[in-house]
Order: sequence, then structure tokens, then C-alpha cells
Amino acid sequence: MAYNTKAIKTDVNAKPIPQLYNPVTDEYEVLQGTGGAARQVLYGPDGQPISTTEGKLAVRASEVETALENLLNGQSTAAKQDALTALVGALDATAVSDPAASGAVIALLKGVLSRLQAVEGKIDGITDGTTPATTQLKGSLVAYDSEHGAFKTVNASLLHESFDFKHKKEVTVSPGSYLVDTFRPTNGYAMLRIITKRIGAAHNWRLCANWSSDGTQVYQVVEKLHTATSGDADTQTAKIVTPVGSQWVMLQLFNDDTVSSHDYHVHVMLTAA
Amino acid sequence: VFDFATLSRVADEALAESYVKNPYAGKNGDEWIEGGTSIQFLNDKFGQYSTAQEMIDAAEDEGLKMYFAWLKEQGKLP
Repeated sequence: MAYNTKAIKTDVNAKPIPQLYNPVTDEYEVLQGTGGAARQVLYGPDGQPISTTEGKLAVRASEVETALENLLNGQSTAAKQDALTALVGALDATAVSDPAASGAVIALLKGVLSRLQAVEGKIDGITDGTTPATTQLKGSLVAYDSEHGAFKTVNASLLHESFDFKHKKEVTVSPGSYLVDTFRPTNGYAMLRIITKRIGAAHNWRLCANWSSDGTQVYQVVEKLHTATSGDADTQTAKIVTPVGSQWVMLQLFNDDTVSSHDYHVHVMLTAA
Repeated sequence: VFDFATLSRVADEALAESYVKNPYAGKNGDEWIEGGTSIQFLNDKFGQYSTAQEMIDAAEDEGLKMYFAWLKEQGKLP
């Protein structure tokens, strides 16, 4: 059908109204608009109407929206802008409003740099060996006391020389026999470390420790520290942890060999901790 | 034949059953140290002898020789 085959729209007074012909519906339709303007349709160079998405022109709408979203939500939030403003303000106050303070900050940075360079030089000296670091080991057996022929620790001292009352005068124990040594260490110690050394050929021997905690020589606890067999030939060590307040210690050195006498060193170390 | 279990025991109660008192059990330099000697050891090695001299002659250890001589002085051994 054609527009001239259809009647136009009229108002209540039978007067024509603003209208347009819709070839799809083959009818005249009321011309509608907003704000005093009629609705319009934009056409592109290809003669096709330019579409809209949610009321917006679809021309690169998605790309523009993505860029705007990144800008608004990720890189330019109000909080970040406030933070930047504050930093700028601080820099301005320090460097411009207070030049003296700015100089102090620069001087401080220079001082830090200088000290870093000094530390770097010292580390280089340690690593290349020109200026070795002075170090000290603590907390374990680290030194050998050549005077007493015993190992010592930083926090321990030689408390007693059982069965070896003078340096390098080792005691001899007859076969099948034992010796006993009783001593009273400083009260309040926490640990006694017993170091023994047998001199001469390997054989069977034992060292036992007894201690008393009540101030008398009635020994309450007996603990065998070490039993050496014929295969043991070097210095033997053992330790006991004494009860707090122990006041007497008794050591018993047994020569269980039935052939000949043997020589020994026995040292008692006090560990303070 | 001699039984060393008849001799004086050491003061330590825990060892008195097995050890007899021996003033020459050990030596520190030139100084003798008192201790104990195993009864079983003495009986096994020297129990077959009846006199101190026989035991001294059989002993190789200086401390044991001194011990047997001391027992003779004490009247414990003929």
C-alpha cells in the first residue's frame, strides 16, 4: 500500500495533526517527541540507522566504557587523589614553605647513604679476609683448657679435679679396686658436667656419681655415668643434671680390669645455666 | 686358702657387700689413696694363698702388694 491510500490522523476538531507515515505498519502515526522536539533517527554513511545501547550511541561504546571504568575505579579513586594531594601538600610545605627542613631531610639521607657505604666496606673486609670479624662461641663445649687438660665452656668453669689433684699427675687405680672422691660445690648450681680421661691401654672401667640434696653426706641418688669397655681408649665424657640445691657430690672411679692398674683423669665442670 | 670376705668393708653401704677397705687402692703421684677392692677379685686371684708373702709374690700391682703387706701388719694375714 502507499501513503496516499491512507487517511491522515486528525484531532478532535478534525484538523490534521503532526504525523508521519509508517510504511511497515502502513499507517500514519502521531509524531512524538520530548521537550518540544520531535524524535530523530541518525543514519550512518551506509544509510543504516545508528543503533543505541541502553540509550547510548553504540559507536565504540564498549571500548570507551572500559577505559572509563579503569580510570574511575582503578586509577583515580577519590581516596588516591586525596592521598596524592596530601603528599604534594607535604612536599610543598617542606621543600617550599620550609627550605631549612628540606635541607635537613637531604642531610639525613646523605648520612644514611654514608653509613651504608661504611657497612658495605666492612662486609667486604670480612668476606675477603682483610679485616676478619671478632666472634665468640657460646653455649656449648668450645674450648680446651690446656692447663687442666679439660674442655671448658664460656658459661662453665672447672669446679673440681677428682682423681687428678695436680695437673698431669694422673691417678692410678689398682685392678679390681675403686676410689671415691667427695666434694661440696657451690650451692645453687644447675648442672655438673663430668669429663673423664683414661690414660694408657683400653680396659674395663666405670665412673659413678652420687649426690645429696639435704646438706648431709647421705647420698640419695646414684647414677652410673659411664661404663667403658675394652674398646674405649679416648677421652670419655658424660654429664649429670643435679637437683637444685644439691650440696654434696661423690664420684666413684672403678678399675674393673683384673690384670693391672690404670691411670685416669677425671674433671668436674660446673655449668651455671 | 683365705677368704677376703672376712676383712673390713668399705664405709659406703652400697658397696660394702662387694668391696673391702684398701688404703692402697690408688695412687696420686707419691701419695696413696684409700678406696676399696673387689672381694670377688681378691678371692679369684689370691684366695688360693694362705700367707701375705705368697700373695705379695703373686701380685704384679704395687698397690696390691702394699695392701697385702698392710693386712699382715694389721694381723689379718699370717
